[in-house]
Amino acid sequence: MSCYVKRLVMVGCLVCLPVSGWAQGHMTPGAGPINSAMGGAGVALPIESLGALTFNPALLAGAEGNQLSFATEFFRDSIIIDTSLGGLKGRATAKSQIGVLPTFGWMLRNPKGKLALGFGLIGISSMGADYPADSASVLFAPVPNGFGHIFTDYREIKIPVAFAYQVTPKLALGASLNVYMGSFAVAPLPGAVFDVGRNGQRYYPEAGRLTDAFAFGAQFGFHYQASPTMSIGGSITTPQNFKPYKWNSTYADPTAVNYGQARTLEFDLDGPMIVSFGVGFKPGPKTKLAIDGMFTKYKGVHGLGGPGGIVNGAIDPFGWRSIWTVKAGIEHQATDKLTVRAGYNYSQMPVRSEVVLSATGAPITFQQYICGGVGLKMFPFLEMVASVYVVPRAHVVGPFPAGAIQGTLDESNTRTSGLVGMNFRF
Amino acid sequence: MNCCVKRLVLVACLILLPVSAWAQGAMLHGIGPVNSSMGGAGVALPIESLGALTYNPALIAAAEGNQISFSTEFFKDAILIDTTLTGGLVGRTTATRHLSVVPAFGWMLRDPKGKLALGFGLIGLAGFGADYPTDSASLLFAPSPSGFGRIYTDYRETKIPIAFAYQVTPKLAIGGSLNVYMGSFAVAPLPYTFFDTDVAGNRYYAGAGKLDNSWAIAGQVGFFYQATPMMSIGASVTTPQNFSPYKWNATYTNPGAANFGQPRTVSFDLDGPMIVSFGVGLKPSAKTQIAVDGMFSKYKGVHGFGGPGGINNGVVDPFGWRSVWTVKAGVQHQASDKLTVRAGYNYSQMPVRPEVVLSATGAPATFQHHFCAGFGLKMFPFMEAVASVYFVPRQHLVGPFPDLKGKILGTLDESNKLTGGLIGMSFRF
Repeated sequence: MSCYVKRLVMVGCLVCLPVSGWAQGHMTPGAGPINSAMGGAGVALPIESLGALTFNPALLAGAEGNQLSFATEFFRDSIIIDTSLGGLKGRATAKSQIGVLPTFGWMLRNPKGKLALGFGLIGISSMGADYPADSASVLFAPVPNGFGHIFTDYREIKIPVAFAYQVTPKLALGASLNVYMGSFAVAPLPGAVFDVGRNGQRYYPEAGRLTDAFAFGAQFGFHYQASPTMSIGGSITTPQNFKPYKWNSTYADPTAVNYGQARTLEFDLDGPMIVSFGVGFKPGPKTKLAIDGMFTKYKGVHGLGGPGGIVNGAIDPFGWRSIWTVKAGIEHQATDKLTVRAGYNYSQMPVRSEVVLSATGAPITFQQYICGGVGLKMFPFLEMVASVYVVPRAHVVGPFPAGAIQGTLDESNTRTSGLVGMNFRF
Repeated sequence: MNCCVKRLVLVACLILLPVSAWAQGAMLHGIGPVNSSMGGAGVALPIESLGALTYNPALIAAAEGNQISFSTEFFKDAILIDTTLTGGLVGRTTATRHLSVVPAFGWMLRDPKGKLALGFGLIGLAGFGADYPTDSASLLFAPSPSGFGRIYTDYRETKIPIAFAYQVTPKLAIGGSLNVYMGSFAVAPLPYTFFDTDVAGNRYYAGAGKLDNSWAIAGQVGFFYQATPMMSIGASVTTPQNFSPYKWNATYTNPGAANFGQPRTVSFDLDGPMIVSFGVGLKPSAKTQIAVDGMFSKYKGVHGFGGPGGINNGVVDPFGWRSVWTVKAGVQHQASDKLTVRAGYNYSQMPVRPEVVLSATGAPATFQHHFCAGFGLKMFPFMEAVASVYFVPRQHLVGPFPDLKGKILGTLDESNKLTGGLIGMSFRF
């Protein structure tokens, strides 16, 4: 591939990515300490199994023998909600606790063969919030004046069974069948199901116990080694159609005779189609670069991609838009034993300022991920890997619909995360 | 070791185990498809990392190179609550069933030329949960204040061991591990000391419904002694796990009070038990291995689990578990070069007690008999795909159904059964 074509590919990758309002969506920016340290980039750069199984199954063909990765991510969010209403100001700080996401990946290719296999169990998402009731807050005042104590908890695991085939010495194709397991709790559930008091006040029922739902999806990808120093890759992940989450719940109007009586609730929360593409460079024998773009189609997805805001007098949760993400990462082998990695990930916010109220349960305001990590070869077959990333506080600010008075709602969040893991090759 | 001593050890293992009212406690009966299919037995039988890192760190000294296990367990229980009032009225509540998924990872390494072995894991170790809908026809689940209303619980525990073992002599290995435990717990309502009372004396309990995390650190030490080529013994002790109290945002719950819905915090201390495991491993032939184990879990006195239970001073004391003994036996047979079959049985005391059956409602751990089986299929020279299933028949816990003043209203029968399946991969290189 000529220098001109290389530049075209690289410029194309960058031009295709919008340049305003980036964020990450419901997923973690990367999978495992290696991929995460590189900002989640690597759709065209085979390094290890977790990145391959998450973003491009064709990369499995880059395995030389067995490669096993095991990693755990520890992260903490810090959500702040600021309200301004008719001159009154209030601030609510959500309870912050450590989230833990374990991940496992394995890929195998006999160097003499053309077929590669992969399997994983990958924690791809974890988000939640826990706001105490606050009488001074319009949003969190006890019902019916506000929503009262609100908590949400969402977790998602991807279990891919993947194959890749080396079609030509330069081209590999890959596919995976993915089982997804989601767990979801939200209390109260501020949707279309609510009870109305004698004076028209609303009481929303709770759906507080984590309940599980499963989905199947598929992922297809390619990897093309254009030259010894450059490769391109792309993949597409089909939408994930989860069964609706269902909860035991109760009637919530404390003034009604049916208060506390049994009811069931359900909410459909599906997953988005994802398109990833990227380019990988090897400018030197010890250095690798990856630049990726990713499109996540949240719009129209049940649950996440509804209109948001107030619809027919009822709150529509989430109201996310589709987003673009750009990622860049570098890996450099500093010594025989030490590898250093760094990355940056910048994405659109899925939450929209005009329906900021709908973002309260999951204020995914994350935009800029600043990532770094190291790998230390402990044995010929084992590299200990670790990485960190920080997401500076970013805000989504929009109208706070509260009857005749229009206030302002400012929801902001930060995330600090550390990952540790082991990377086996044999 | 002569034949007489072998018999003595085997008989001692069996005699030390009580023979009535067995169950398992909060922990899974085994970890990973290999250990689980053998009934959780193997304190004296080194096979793979998950069993070693869970029950006896000295076993990792038997690793020959690297051994990595990865597995996922899927299980579903089926809780029934039957009430019979003194007047003859009967009622039944069926808890909503949820599929639980528990992953586990283990690695152990020993250079065959060295004496030191290392191990590391992330092991889904324990859990329980229940999800009862409100039922106006039930005294227990009627909307508050008549009953407790809708009740749900959710508890998950992960053990992260960093383990070392040393081959002291050709026959003796000793091991130790530093274990980090992560617990997650939710219970709504929390039927404990956090309640509101209305003018008529009715009680309204606060909710603690969001999974909250807590951490603990504990140690584990063990030994493994290869008495003869055909027989080995082993044992381990795990120290108690002192978790920080779980803390939740909650609200005041008396709907008739001025502070209804106002914020409060509630907390609950739920620690983990000391565990003593011991066992014997037998190799009657080149292709067959047998393990027989005993285990003592000291729940009594443990904060949260090991309280008195029942109604104390008009307050419900959750759990009220007693200490339990468990006996386990498993066999592994290499049927062909590629196929290994395994079977096991696990029989344990119930930690829940009939005299305080009401306290068991959030976690009816009535499990006693675990029937287990599995197999391993060598897919590649370095990888065995493993799978197992187990079944725990329904077992009942029947006791008095008191009101908060201690008056006996009737009989409470809480029963549960469990069906589980595990899949995984075991790598050696």
